[in-house]
Amino acid sequence: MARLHVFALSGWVAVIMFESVTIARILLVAHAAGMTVLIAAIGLTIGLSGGVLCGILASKRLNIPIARRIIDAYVFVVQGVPLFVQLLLVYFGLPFLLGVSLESFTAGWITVGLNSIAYVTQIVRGGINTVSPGQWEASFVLGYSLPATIWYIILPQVGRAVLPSLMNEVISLVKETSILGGIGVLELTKVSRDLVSRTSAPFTWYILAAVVYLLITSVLSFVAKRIERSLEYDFHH
Amino acid sequence: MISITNLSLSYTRLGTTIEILSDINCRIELGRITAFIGKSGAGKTSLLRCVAGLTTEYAGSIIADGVDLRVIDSALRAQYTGFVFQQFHLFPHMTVIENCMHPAIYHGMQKERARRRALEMLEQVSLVEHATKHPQQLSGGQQQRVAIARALMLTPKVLLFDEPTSALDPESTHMLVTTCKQLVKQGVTIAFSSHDMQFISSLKDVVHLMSDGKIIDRYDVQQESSGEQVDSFLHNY
Repeated sequence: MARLHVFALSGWVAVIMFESVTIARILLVAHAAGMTVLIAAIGLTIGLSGGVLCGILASKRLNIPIARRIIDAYVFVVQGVPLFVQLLLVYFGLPFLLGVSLESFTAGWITVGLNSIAYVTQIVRGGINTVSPGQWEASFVLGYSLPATIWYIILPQVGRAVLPSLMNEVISLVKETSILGGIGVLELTKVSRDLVSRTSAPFTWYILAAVVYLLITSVLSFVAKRIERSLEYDFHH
Repeated sequence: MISITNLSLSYTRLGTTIEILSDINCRIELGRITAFIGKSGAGKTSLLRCVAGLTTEYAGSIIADGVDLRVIDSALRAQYTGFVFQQFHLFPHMTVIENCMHPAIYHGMQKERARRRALEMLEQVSLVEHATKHPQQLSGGQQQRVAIARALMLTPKVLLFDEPTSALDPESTHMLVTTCKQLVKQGVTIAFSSHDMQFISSLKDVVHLMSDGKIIDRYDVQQESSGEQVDSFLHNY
């Protein structure tokens, strides 16, 4: 009898959960997930390229005081202001300053990219500062130029050391895209919220959104582990 | 031959000037082994760092074949001096053979030729069988021999060793002596700093005794009446 009750209850929950699910709505969620990945990918590209460059320029070894001061100020501002406020500043402030209209999608990836630069800068700078000065000197006596030293000798070592921190940043970046709905970007959270208001089935759509976010971050973690393993060179006798 | 003329080096810290090297005049003669010996803080390493271009804020001049080593770029300098560090500073993200090949390829050597030459150099230091290992998998003595092979890849005129035995056990030290003697027979010029009396005695050729940043005595195996203080230093240290 008790088993029958549990069975009936599960069936009822399933009906409640899935009665609002249609193929069209699933496609909407899939499109929104694509949008989330796209914005994260653009933001990551900006964040990585800008962050690596700023991290190098702000490192102790290069010792460029003016570059370090400017970059420190940038990092201070970005880390001290909430991402949503940054988003509003880019979406409403940039058109006001530059006199151009900005689509919400464009404002979205610009904000995520600029935000990511600050965090990647900190990670890369920290990584470069931990590479032993002997590596720079060995490279110098072997006749490498400074850019070649950074490219061939320092960055490969930094990449391996900071990969876990970078991965955290990438995962945070994916999750942070969820605030872009605030200016109308049709990303995963925004579309889920819209579907909830249309279907009155919050559990279904938010669970689905959570599962999709988990899927994206799981794939990223898997890729990161593969990269980490390929960069492995710590051996023991 | 490398001529060191009126070389002085000092640092100012908290308003106090600290003299590291004072009016050094000496030569590193081709095909010979030149030793700079003395107690810790005598200025041996600082002198070698000046010759290798790792320190350039000195007064005086270091001239090789009429070329002022301070003003040439690091790629050209690598043809004059190779440097084997006290802590070796091999590149941990590269295998042993890559450590040797990469600088040569960077300087324009064709990849296959660089591989052949790297294998020759590793053969010379008896490490061919470790070519595909990473430096962390080798002992201190083996790492040092890789560092020697790496430095020889660019055929520098003079090979500089900074405190070469400080991280070695007696067996590795003996192997290093053999390697150095072999290299000199092949026409390689060697200069080293050390306070390891056994090592110095094994490679005694031209010896400069340093104290408080000055060369206070010189011993030359080809000149009978030279180096009283060097002899006394070697006996009493």
